[in-house]
Amino acid sequence: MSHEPGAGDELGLVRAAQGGDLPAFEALYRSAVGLVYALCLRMAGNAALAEELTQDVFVRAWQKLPTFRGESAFTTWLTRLAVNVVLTERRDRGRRNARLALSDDLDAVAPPAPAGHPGTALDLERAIAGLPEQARKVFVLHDVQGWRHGEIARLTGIAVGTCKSHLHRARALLREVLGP
Amino acid sequence: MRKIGFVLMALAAAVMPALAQQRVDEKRPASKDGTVEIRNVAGSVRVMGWDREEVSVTGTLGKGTERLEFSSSGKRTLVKVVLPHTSQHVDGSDLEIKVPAASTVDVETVSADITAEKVSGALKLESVSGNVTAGGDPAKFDARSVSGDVEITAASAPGRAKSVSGDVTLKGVAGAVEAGSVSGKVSVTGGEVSGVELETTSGNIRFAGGLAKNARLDAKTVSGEVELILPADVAADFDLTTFSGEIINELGPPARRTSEYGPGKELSFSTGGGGARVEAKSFSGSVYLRKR
Amino acid sequence: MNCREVQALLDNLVDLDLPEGQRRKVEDHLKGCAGCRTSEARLRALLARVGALPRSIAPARDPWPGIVSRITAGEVIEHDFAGRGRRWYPLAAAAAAAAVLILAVSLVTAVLVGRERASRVAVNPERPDAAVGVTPASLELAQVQVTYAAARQQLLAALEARKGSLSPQTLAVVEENLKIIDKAVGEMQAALARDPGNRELPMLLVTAYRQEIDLLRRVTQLPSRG
Repeated sequence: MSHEPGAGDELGLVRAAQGGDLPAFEALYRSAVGLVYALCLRMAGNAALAEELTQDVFVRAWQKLPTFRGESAFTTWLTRLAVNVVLTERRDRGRRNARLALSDDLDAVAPPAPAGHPGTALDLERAIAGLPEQARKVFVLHDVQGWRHGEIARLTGIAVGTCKSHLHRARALLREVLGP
Repeated sequence: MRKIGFVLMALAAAVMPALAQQRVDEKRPASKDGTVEIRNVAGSVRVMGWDREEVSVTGTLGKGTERLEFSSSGKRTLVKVVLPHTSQHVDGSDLEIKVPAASTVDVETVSADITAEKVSGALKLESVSGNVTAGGDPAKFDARSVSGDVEITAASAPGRAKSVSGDVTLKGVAGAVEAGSVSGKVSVTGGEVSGVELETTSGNIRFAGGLAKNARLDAKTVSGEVELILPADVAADFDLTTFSGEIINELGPPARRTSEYGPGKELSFSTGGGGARVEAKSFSGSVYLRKR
Repeated sequence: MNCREVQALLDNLVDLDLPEGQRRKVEDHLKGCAGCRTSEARLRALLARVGALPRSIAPARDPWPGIVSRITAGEVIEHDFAGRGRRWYPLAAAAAAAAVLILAVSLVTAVLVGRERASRVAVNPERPDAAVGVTPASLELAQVQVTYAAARQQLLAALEARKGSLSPQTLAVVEENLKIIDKAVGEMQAALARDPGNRELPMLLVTAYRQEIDLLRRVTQLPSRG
């Protein structure tokens, strides 16, 4: 599905999209939607919500595009925006119980497990989705996205110490659920 | 007693809309290159550039008009015919507005016709059913109507003129212009144009003029006819296609069929060594290339 | 250090988040404690599995149509003349969104023109009907059609909403001309269906779409009693 534009093309597409060029924006979307969706899915814990959030992210990206000045890669900027959207997701959307919805959703979207390890990737995704909400968000940002505690604390408003303890808890729970 | 009566009457006159036509004759100083915004729903608007640093409004306000708003702020002057909020019938107002010649003029009306002359700033003229006419030497123009006709006679100004069902006529064109209508006629005449884009859905398109070196002339229609009248010695590359119409060429070779199976015709050829680019595309209308 | 303290610091260790002194103490403990070494190994194994997770996951349904719809519905708010933009808030937004479409359509038109010219050049002059394979223009056209359909819907809804504030004459002109454009679009789409390799039709279609969006946009911006 994704076609990765080279750095030069990407800047060109961004500039065009900043000028209102919808097809250019769509090209950027196609190259980044998988990344955004993966982030939303893991942080939200269910696919239906993740789809809505993905839409929100790109609609917001379109609005905020004029503020992107190319200091970072476009996907870095977009990822940050996505995290923002996910973290400020309004409660009145209707909270869906992550554990209940989970199995159906993940069956539909989880990638196939690598050969020789039946169910491995799926188990891990499920396990992440089953984490308590705050722990899950911190875990995804730190261990999946590679952010540092300082950044996570700044964006989530959680104190660094609390972040670290959420992470500790998430990793412990995952080890427990996944076994040796 | 009488004094009170007089005051009461004056007060009454101040709050009630004009029961009869009212004459207008007001002036305000204005920047020589500011913007003048004119809003009048019905009647007529006639704008003329002059060499004073003043905006003058003369004319008559129609019966039922609430008032004329004539104010300025910084480099903007506003001339607006204010109507009462109730939907009672209101007569149109006829205004003649003189503006500093280098002003940018921005007029919006609903049914009032708009005329602008002798303005050398930019013209932005919009009406719904009124006709829009402009002449002189504006820096650029943007003239639109929905059912009214648009006619611009503007030497060398770039601009755009559009209507939906009205006719669009551009005369004396020398720069880069766009003219379009959905069902009205589009007609452009000029000297040596540098860029002309003409578009209709069902209206006919007619161009008569010359082409500057490296000029572009682009005509697109669905079912209208395209008639391009060019000097016999024009130096241009031509690219004409029609899906089901005819191509008649007085400047060069005849058209050929695009395929044995379909009705389409196309024609690509050059005259005078080429240089300018002429493109005409239609769906069912015919394309005529004629010698001037 | 005892096992409990070390277990508490394993996360910091693997994250390279321990001051030098503490790090050495933890590592010294690990050297002599199989139980804690196993815990460390399990933690690293977990992180390795996490590291192997795919970066990208495709959603089951493509969210793009929803995104386009929301963008063209005016989730981008632009400011029009003072007063007018505010007064016709939802309509001005729809009009602004349609402006986006017009830009997009112009770009696609340019692409179509470019491709069409390129494929013209490639055609063998001896056999003009030997079309150059499936026209790539059809892909761009499909994209434009989706964007156009979305913008058209929004603008038609906006037109419907303000019918009452337009004069009957204007409304009649607008509706009649919309019919003319729709008829033109219908004829061209039918022709394209019968002749999908035609290189000119996509361009003309796109022009007609643009005219329709232009007209609808203009109408949404008309002053009332217009």
